[in-house]
Amino acid sequence: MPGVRVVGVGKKFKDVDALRDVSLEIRDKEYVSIIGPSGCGKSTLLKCIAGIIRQDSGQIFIGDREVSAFPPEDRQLGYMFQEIALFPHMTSWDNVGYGPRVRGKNKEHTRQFVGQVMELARLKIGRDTYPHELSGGAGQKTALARAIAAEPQLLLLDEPLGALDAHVRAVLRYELRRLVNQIGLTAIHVTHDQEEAMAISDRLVIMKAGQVVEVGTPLELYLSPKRLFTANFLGETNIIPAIVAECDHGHVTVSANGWNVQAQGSGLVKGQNVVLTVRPESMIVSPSNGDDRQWIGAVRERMLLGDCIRTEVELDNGLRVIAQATNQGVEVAGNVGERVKVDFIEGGPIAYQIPTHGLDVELALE
Amino acid sequence: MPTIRLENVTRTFGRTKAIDHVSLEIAEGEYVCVLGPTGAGKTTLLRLIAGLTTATSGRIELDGREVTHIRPEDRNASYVPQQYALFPHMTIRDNVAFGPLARGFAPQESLEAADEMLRLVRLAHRATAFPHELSGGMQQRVALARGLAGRSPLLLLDEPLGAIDARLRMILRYELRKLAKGLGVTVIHVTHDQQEAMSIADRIAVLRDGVIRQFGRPSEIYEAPESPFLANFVGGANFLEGVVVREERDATMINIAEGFSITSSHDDHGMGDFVVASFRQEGTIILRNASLEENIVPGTLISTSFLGSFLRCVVNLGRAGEVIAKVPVRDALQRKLPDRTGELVYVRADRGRIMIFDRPARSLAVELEAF
Amino acid sequence: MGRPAQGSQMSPKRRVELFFDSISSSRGARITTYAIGVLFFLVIVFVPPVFGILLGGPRIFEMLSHADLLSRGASAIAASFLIAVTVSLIDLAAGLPMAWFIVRSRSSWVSTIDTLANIPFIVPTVALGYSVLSFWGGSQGIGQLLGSQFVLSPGWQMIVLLHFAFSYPVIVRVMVGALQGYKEVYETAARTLGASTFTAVRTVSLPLLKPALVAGFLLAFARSLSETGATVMVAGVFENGPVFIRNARAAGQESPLLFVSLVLIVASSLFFIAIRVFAPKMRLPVSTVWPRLEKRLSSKSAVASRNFLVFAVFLLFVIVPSLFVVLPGAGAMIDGTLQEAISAKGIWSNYWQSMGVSYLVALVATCLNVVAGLPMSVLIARKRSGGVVSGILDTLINIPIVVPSIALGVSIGIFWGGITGISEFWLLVFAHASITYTYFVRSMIAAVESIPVEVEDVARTLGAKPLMIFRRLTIPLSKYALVAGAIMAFTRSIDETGATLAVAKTITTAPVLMVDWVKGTVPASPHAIGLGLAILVLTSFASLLVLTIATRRT
Repeated sequence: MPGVRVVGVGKKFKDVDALRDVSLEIRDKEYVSIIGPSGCGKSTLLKCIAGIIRQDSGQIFIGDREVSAFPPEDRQLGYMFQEIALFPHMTSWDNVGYGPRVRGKNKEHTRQFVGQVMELARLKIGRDTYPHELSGGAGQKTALARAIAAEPQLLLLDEPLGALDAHVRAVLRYELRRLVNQIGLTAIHVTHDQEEAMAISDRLVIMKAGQVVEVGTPLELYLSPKRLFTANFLGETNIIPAIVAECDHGHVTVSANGWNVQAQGSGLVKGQNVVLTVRPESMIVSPSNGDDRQWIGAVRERMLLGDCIRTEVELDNGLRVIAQATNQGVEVAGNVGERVKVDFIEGGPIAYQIPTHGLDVELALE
Repeated sequence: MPTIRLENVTRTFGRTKAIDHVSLEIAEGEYVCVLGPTGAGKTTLLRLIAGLTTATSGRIELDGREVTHIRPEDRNASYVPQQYALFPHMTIRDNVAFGPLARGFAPQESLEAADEMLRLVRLAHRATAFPHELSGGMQQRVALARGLAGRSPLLLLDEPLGAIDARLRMILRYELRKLAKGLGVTVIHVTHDQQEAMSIADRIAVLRDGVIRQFGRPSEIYEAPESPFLANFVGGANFLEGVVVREERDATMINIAEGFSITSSHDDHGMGDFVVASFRQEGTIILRNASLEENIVPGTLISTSFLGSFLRCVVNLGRAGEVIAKVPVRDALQRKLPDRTGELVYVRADRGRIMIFDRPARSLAVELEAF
Repeated sequence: MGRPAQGSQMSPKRRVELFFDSISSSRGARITTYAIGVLFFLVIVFVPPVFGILLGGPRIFEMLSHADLLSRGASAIAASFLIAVTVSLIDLAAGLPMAWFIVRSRSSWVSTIDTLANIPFIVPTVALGYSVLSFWGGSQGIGQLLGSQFVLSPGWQMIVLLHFAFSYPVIVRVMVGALQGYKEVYETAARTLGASTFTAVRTVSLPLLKPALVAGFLLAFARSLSETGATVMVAGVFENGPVFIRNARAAGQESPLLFVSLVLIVASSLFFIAIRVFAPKMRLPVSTVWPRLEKRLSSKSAVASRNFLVFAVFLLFVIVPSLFVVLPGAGAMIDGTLQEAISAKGIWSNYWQSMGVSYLVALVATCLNVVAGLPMSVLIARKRSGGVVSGILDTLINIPIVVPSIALGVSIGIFWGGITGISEFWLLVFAHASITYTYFVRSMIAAVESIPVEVEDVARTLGAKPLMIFRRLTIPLSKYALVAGAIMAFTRSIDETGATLAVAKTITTAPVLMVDWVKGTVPASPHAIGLGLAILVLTSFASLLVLTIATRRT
């Protein structure tokens, strides 16, 4: 029953380390996304698992079998490419039937099978349609059908939605997950789009500069990321420099420009310089009635973004923060210039040590 | 006087109308996004304004001057294509200096203008680098600097953030707007990403099949979309087909399935009309238990996805169809919302947030551009 | 900052620049430039070779009344086509795996093999002809290697071996270029779906590379059909089209000369157009698969044996025969022939004179082609006159290389013959310009097409006038192709024998002189021949070295 195990995989291109001692475990039937900025090595890792690239060191297990010596055609996988890569000289149906045909299925058998796969994928495409006649979304769905028709045990997706319009991406991602669930495949999905990854994955693997940064469920990584990079990459967050005032078993009180706030944080000592992260949706803006002494300021900008309202507040202690609230039809405080108060949702603020390699390097997104 | 004025502009290619009788007025210094799906004609529109393609009919005015048949080099509208098209054989400094040089500035002055612009986009320290040595985000900044160095009052951007990673896009788009506003240039920014348009546009022109469907401020298009397509494309929405069964002032009741009706505070439809009721996903409320409030429909929870700041819940309302709710995470955690597939839940929407549209002539799926 | 710097601060160079830039904006200026390009093409390159022959009038058809001449001519024409098609197909079969190796293999031998594969390009065809003659026909060559039963006498077999050798690098170059531009993702996709490498290549990559395969085939076909000098050397008494025409000229028979030329021109043009039109519609068989067999064919041992075979063929049939001319050349160093050559004694004075003529003609023809070919390249590459016209021009510019050069020369001779006062030198220049035009223009078109249109679009909206775009963008971004194209045209001109044989009565070019030396029309010792050819090879090598240096710097 294949899960996938990657053990100590390394790969160098010329003098650059594309992958450095990467190890992962993916359970059977799990849908895992590998995400990270461009150049982090996620595509290289996927290609090593597929056998398209040969790793320099380390082992790769698909199920119980160590597969490094096997070419892609012997690894029984399905692969989806960012460029869709449907064969332009064959009809869509012939594309989908390619896998069965090269394994020796006869024409009649293949045609029936392809019909079943097309129905499963909810694809309504004529027999004589060529790939260039399909829209981006339909094309990628066809590529998925083609991968599935080859009856793989593992599905690998390399930025499958990257070339599609935003509104198509937002819908097709759920279709991908639905189909994978229905057939019961293990899937590894590479993307730079963290929203896409969170929406459909059982677990996320965060990568940066050829290494695995953190692994966890979307919920874990978003609400309690262990690394500052994860906090900044997985969604917007306010970054506030602060100093530890008190520590107590996983909770700290920090002082940011003189004002205090409770935060999650462990392994910290009093007086230490830290970085505080607070997600915009964990900050609530309300009118200030003049009694408050801390965390007050004036609204600098207010943006109605449709499904949410984004308020930029310049606090009296010099800090600038961004708060975001879902648009629920209720008036949210804060016209430009208004005096407001900022409250933090419990569990929202998290304090981190300042990384040894520097804050800029840790937060760099490219 | 508007900086850009299009009057009934059409552009035909063979038998296809890429741009179909488009009229538009954009004021000086405005940041306008042209939003639409691929194939809508957005690039053609941009190229028409730039002069890179000629209108089949209609009139184009820039700064009060008619430019319909004037060549691009005389229009003073800078074009930045999707892949940036930086000149690969020149340093980025020479790339940026190209504009002023082309307009007749002396070489020395052109280089000075380039240096100034590179400082503005924070790339002065890489002035002698070649385009291929820079990251995607940096190349984009060079392309912008090049477009702005010649002091062109109009900037035409074709999917400027298309080649950028999703997370970086969220940051760069605000920088893009800030840069343009700081220099006072008028911008037309083409994109297929409605989140992007909503975030930074003064006004959005939604283009579909060569026609402008709505042109207004982001909040206007969001609060009052003129068609189901617009409601869906900008902001996303739920759609329930039904029939008007009661009609009063400030209230219209729509029967959406056997035994279930919802009421909207809009009132421009009559009894017996076939309509589509629509409400935003973030305006769709999920409840554990029924109550006597209006607009409560029972359903089965099909799936829940975690999207960071909110949960996306898909609920099956039986005959009435499927709806999606966006629930803020803290709400879900506080109210201990159900999260298991198959559970019985209730869906509610405020009457003030339910929009009503005529049922489209083609099927709803076609209207919404489902693929 | 404000307005552009006014007059007194601008350098004179800048002022001139701006002046010409603004003129280029005018429609009239641009139309004139393109018109000159098109006119040059029509008047010099296209019309004389293709239609000039018709001015021959009724003389052309006199040959029809002589049955034996007619049958001789017909079999010569048939032989040309048969040999050309056969050689091209064999070259495809042998050259494709070689190109595959060069592009895909990770072996350290790749760059060496890549350079070696170019050798027949470097060696002028007349030297190749003599080399093949000596290797396959002499006791020192294949006889020494495998035994005297393999020694051939001049005839159609040698022609096939010769044509195979000189068309090989053409196929390899075309396929290497195509493979480098080919998106490997399709083949990878096929493999992830379970196809063995062999199956993936056969069912996916080859069909997608079909345009390159057809282009390679046509180029090899054109070369085989057209080549004269070397073919004459190895033909013996056998006749293909060009040999027949040369013999007819030598015997003073006008009608056969004209008739066979006409037939060759018409037949080759039609064949070319037919392939261009029908080849895209031909489908390679991709629906049947033999999984187990093809899996075995993909195995490491199968690939190794295939590579071995390919290299063996390459070595035996291409490299060794091409380099064989070194032997007599080396001999010439020893026995004093070299001193004779340097002091221009005897036959050598003619040699140096003909070398001079060769280089002068090549230089003038190339310059004309570069100047007049540039506007034409831009016109076609950017479809400035609309898609249909550009498409037609694109097809037409290929015709002069498809038509056998000797027939082309005959046609040009007749066309300009009527105009008194035109010297033989200029006839030669026009003939060479006509033949080498395509090499330059093709290279430029590819280069201009590879510049994304958006680059020009942006430049235009930034205010750049057409001439400024041309000067600062188009030329710098295509200068390597420009130099490469010019040098290819130049070397092709040095190499050219057929047209010269047809046109020149009093002056000779170097390769034609070499043909005379080999055939014995002018007596020369084998060492002299070897040396003469060796010098020709060296000068050709020098030009190609310049090409490699100019195009390697990225």
